[in-house]
Amino acid sequence: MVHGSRDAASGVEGGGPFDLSERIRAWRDRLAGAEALGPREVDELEDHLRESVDSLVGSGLSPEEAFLVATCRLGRPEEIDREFGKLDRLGVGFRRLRWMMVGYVVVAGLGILIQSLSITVASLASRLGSQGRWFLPGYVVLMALGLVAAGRVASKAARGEQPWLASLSRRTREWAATRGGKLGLYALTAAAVTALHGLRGVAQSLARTGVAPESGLFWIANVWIGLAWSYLWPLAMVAYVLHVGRRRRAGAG
Amino acid sequence: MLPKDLVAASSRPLVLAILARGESYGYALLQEVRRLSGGEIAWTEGMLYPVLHRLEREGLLRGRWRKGPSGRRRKYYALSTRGRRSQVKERERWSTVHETLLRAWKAAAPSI
Repeated sequence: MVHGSRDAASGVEGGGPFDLSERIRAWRDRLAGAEALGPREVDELEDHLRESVDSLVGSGLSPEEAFLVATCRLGRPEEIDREFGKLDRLGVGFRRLRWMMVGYVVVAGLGILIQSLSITVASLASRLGSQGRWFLPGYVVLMALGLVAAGRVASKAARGEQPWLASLSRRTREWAATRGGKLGLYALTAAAVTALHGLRGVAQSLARTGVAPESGLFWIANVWIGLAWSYLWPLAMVAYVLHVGRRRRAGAG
Repeated sequence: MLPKDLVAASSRPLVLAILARGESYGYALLQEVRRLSGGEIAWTEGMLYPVLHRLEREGLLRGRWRKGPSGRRRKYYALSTRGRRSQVKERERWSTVHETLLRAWKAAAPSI
């Protein structure tokens, strides 16, 4: 629901490069990322902001100044979110858990897709050249690069730096802007673990070709990297959520 | 300006007292608090809404969305029956605090 982009903005916009609706949209995007705020709460705060801006413009401030003063008076989004979070701690916990599961499934699905593509490309390349010797490291490197690319796209979406975002609906943009950062973080963590997996592949190839002999240490590292591949990035998500919790508590103190 | 903890403690009775006169919405409530206090009570504006939502959850307020004069949809709050009873109790409690303080100050400095 977009309320009143026509009324409050009329008479406020159009005097220069400052675009009130655009600024309010960006402000909404930040608020929409808050865990305790639903669309209704954000709508209510937006109505407050617009009325405050109208009043300040009426008292002689420029629209830009009015917007800055009004957002400052309203308070930082994190503080507002924290106060709303106190009303429904259990709900916030469940929403966080739900988001973790969605993040895991999305990144795992993305991983499978990139993995399939990487296997195809690496398989073709190794048939053409090196009799399959570099198949494993090749596909893992491609997969890591794919995840890094996905992570960068998601992170840029979170910062509003993807031009194609402008063509999407407001709800989708808000989702991309707020969840993109987290998805990007997960994808980059997955890429880091995949890169470790790639190192294992290189070590195995070296051992197979006799360049470096297999040792006990090699196999221990092999097992641990395998475990990291399976569990590290899901654990990174848990660590991220705990980090958010700590940051919120530190902010409250 | 009043210290933060006193402002926070007074938010609930102030909201209930203002809404006892009729329904209102967040921005108007803040303006009224500012006017009544002569600018001495300054809330961080966004902090009012969690207070309103808490009172609504407790059943003291009823929130209703409808179009305001500007054409924007706006959430209006009104006291429920329980809220009216709570407002009377709050008033008694704060009057007790106020009168106790006055007596204490009078006893400490009779000339005041």
